[in-house]
Amino acid sequence: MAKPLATIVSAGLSKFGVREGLYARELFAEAASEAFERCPNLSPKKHIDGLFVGQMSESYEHQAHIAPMIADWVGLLPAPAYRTEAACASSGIALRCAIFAIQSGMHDIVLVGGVEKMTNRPTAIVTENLGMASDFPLEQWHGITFPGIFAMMATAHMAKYGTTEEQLAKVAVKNHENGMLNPKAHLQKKITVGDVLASRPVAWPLKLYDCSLISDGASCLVLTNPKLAKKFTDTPVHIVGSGQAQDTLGLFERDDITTMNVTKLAAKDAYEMARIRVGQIDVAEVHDCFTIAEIMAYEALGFCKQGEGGRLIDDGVTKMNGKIPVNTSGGLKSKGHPVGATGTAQACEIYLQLTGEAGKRQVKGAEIGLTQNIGGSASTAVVQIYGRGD
Amino acid sequence: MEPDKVIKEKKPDSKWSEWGRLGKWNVVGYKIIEGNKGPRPDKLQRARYMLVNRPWDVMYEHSYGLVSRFFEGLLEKKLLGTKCPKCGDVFCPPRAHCWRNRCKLAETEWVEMPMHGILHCFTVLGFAGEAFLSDLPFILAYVRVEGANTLIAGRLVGMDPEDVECDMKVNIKFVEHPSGNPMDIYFVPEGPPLDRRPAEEKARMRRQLEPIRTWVKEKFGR
Repeated sequence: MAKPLATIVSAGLSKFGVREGLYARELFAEAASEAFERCPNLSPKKHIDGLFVGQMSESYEHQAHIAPMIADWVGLLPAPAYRTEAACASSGIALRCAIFAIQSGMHDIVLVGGVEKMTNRPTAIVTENLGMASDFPLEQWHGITFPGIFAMMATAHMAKYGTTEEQLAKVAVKNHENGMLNPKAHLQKKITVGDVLASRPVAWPLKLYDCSLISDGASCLVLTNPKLAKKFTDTPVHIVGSGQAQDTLGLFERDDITTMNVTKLAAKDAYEMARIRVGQIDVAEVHDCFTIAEIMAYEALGFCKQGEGGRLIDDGVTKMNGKIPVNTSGGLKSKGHPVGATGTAQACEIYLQLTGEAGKRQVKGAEIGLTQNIGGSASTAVVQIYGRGD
Repeated sequence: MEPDKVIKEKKPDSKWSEWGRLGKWNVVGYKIIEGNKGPRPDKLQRARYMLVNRPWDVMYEHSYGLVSRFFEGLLEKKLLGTKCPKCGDVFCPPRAHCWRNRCKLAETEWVEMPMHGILHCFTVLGFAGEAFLSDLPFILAYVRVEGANTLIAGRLVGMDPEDVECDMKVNIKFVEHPSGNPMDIYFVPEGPPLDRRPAEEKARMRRQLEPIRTWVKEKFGR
């Protein structure tokens, strides 16, 4: 394993779900207070010298310029604060920016996280808001939705590789099973393949249970220069590899929509930087905004060959007791998907797994973890690799 | 410097001019609620909060930029694309500059596209943004117009959703009165269904779409 880029010394997650009666800033404060409580040696105002926060949309609360406000609400003023946006990868890129900040030496200890407060608006309006991450005017104006865009990938994947609706359903069933073990998850509900197949089509072949949830939530990490980590914790988690790549915003200009090329490229960089082979990954959180996205992530991350993602789920390789447990948190599917919070929420889960704090969903002896976070129709992909520090 | 002049104009109906001012952000409704508060489901406390309703919307004005000619073409019922003079790649929908590094952002040239292509992939929408709810369920497809290197989105009509398949040949049609909107074009199948989807899958899809049709009929009366 390569030498660490930056080190996570604490993590916090708000409860995900319909959190009526809270502003986004208050949700973030809930996550931050958990991170601060977990790390008694940290004196936030004294030690933390920067804040990075991912948020997709101003339009849920009609509030732009949230970085100073979040800094204020978590008691970090006047530390420099930065907001990043990459649709559903908004906090995935916030984490990368925080790594750059630490690597550059400009910051030593930062708070990095994300937040989204989505559930106050009607589902049809949220659908339109999220749709803004596709090409305007050439996709949005046809009434396309994000389920619609991933459904396009699904029909193409099914036609090319014979992937089935049942295989997609199995991803949802697995992630719901995992989510039952996560008290922070939005939806704690056991479902069967039959339930998924019988649920209402949102964008065929994707049914209601193939889709992630519209949630409120926030997540954050305390990230330090690796040299300082021991001051704050005995169980540091190092970030040892990081990769990012971009593709066209619209799906209509891609070479092949059955391959998540950006994830492939980001993963290649992250694996090389970390000097880790795919076979060494003990646990992974991947971006299952829709079930087809998890199947395509398996292929792009090298968990199986291109086109064999459906078979991987059939074989149970990614279940909690399988060779590479994927989305032990319940994933976006069951834990919930407050879009701005998702990237660092994935990192929170890996942090808990590698420090042995994941409770009932603990993967025994997990030492190396991976997160994959995508934005839009996989126009952005961020992959990070984590190693347990000793 | 010569002043800008309007070549052609369709003025929005005067009813739209009120659009942005209608609600004025007034609080037109509220609720005071006592609910549960706290991050831990096992340690919730009761807390009060207030919810308010404020109407707000905007009238957008934006230009189609360097690819405006494509949308003018729609008004004239002509499907246009662009072509890179260096590598020959054809873009429909258009790009103003070539996408290849080696062409160094070469400016593309306008070409007229044939009115047919191949359906690359599709979806049947069972839910949509507010503006499109009354049209549900509808078929959206990405079509590769013959000769193009990119795909173009649009609706497919004239076929039951359960008969649609990837790789079908389609013809491209214009709506009767184009308005300069990408939705001025739509697709129709060129021939009979390929009929390669299993009967069981087709029957399941028919069953799944039925409640959506009923919901739309009840909500919108169509």
